Amino acid sequence: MATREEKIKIASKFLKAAPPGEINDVFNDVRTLVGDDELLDGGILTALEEYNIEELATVEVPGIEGKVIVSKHGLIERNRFLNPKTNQTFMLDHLRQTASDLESHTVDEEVEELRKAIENDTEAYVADRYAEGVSAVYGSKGVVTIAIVHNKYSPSNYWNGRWRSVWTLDVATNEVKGAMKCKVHYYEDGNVQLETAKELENKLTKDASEPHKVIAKALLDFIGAAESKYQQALNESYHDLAESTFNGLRRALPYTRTKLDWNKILTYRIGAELAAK
Amino acid sequence: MTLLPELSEDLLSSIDQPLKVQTCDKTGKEYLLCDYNRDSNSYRSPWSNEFSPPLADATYPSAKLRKLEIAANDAFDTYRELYFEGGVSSAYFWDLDDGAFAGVILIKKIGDGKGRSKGAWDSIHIFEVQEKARNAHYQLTSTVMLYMLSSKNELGDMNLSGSMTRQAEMDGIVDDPSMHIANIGRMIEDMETKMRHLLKDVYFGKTKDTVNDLRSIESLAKVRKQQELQREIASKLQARQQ
Repeated sequence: MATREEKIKIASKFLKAAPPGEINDVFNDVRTLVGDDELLDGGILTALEEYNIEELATVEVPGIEGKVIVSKHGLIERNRFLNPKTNQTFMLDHLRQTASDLESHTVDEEVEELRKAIENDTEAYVADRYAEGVSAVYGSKGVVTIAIVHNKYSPSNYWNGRWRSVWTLDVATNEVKGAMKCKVHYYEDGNVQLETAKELENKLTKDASEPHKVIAKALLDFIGAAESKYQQALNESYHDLAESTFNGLRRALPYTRTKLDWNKILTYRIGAELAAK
Repeated sequence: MTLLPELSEDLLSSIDQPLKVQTCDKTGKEYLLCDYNRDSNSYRSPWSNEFSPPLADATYPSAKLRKLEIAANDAFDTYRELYFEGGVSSAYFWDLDDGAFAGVILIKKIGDGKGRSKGAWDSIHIFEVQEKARNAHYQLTSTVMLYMLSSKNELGDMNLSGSMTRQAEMDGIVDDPSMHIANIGRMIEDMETKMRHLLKDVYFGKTKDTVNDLRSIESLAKVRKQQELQREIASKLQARQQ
């Protein structure tokens, strides 16, 4: 019989691996498997928090227009997150995915102008590549962080998908770091999952002495090119996997170009053994 | 499985884990492990019909079924070589009530890993046979697990894995027991080939389309402009026709 700790550990593992848009389904499944409601609600809350933060969950915040991203870059204190666009923080109920208790936040004046310029260009970029994408641009201690998430859910067609990008710019050193992750789940009479991840590092050619608008444009041009290149690599990989790796596993037909003659196989291998009674 | 011991047995038979391979102590040939050749913690080799590790009071198929099992292992060995050009296959049969019997055909193929992409294919074909004089009714449930992993510089890491399941039913003539193998063989061959096409569509079509839906290769502004232009042309053509 599994101990309380073991149960929480296993349940947490399932939760953190929930496919895009299916966290509620996984939560209900886990509840059935593990039993003991009280145990669950207390013990796996950490797993839900980690899930929401890692997956860039989006929430509606009363008083703020549009959806707001939940991420570690906006984590002020446990369960309180920052919406950098309006410079407000809110409390998040991780279980119900609801927000409340808006408060104003102290801005990091040093990086705020640059943050705003980058936010402007980011929103234009996201609108142009991610049909229902949501973004957030944070600025703090000389680092500007961009978070982009795009969810597409189609449970009636048995598929869901999520794209996440996180980019950081170190203002002093011009270093740009990026991480792009994609997850797709297809589950009609089956269970097929795609998971991709790519990280990269580089330097912007425009340095901190340039006007903010110029830096912002250079950054978003760089990001746009890098993400397009990554998407191209993904598509090429799909082609290679289909034509090379997949075909190398099972042929569509034997080299004879006809299906098996099962009668021939039997008479050749078995002989009279089975026929004799 | 440590969650709920009483659920373990059920879960073991319904959740698909990648097939494990073992080498037959007696013949040196490889065989695949599953719940259907397992008794306690021992597994029965389809080549020697012996359990490893040795097990007292183990469950074996009846003599009649064992004959069929041997024929099936040989026949699917050939099938495997022709379609998979490598890999391992195993067939296990067991008796059911009322003279019916069931069996499973397992196939495992691991790709050669060229070009920094790894792939593996696992087939699990479970069938039930009900006989009535010279006729037999077959029910087949086929699961194919497919794993594809790729790690390259520009790409980073890519994992495309999962499984699909399909079912089929068929009637067949059985003048002598060996015909079961031919009937089941044809059924599995057709099913597996059909599933191969389905997998290709889902893995490399559907999921790829979704990725390109999540991020647009083209500028959405450009796409909208093109759509606007198409609409304009269409309505102008319509106006001209009136």
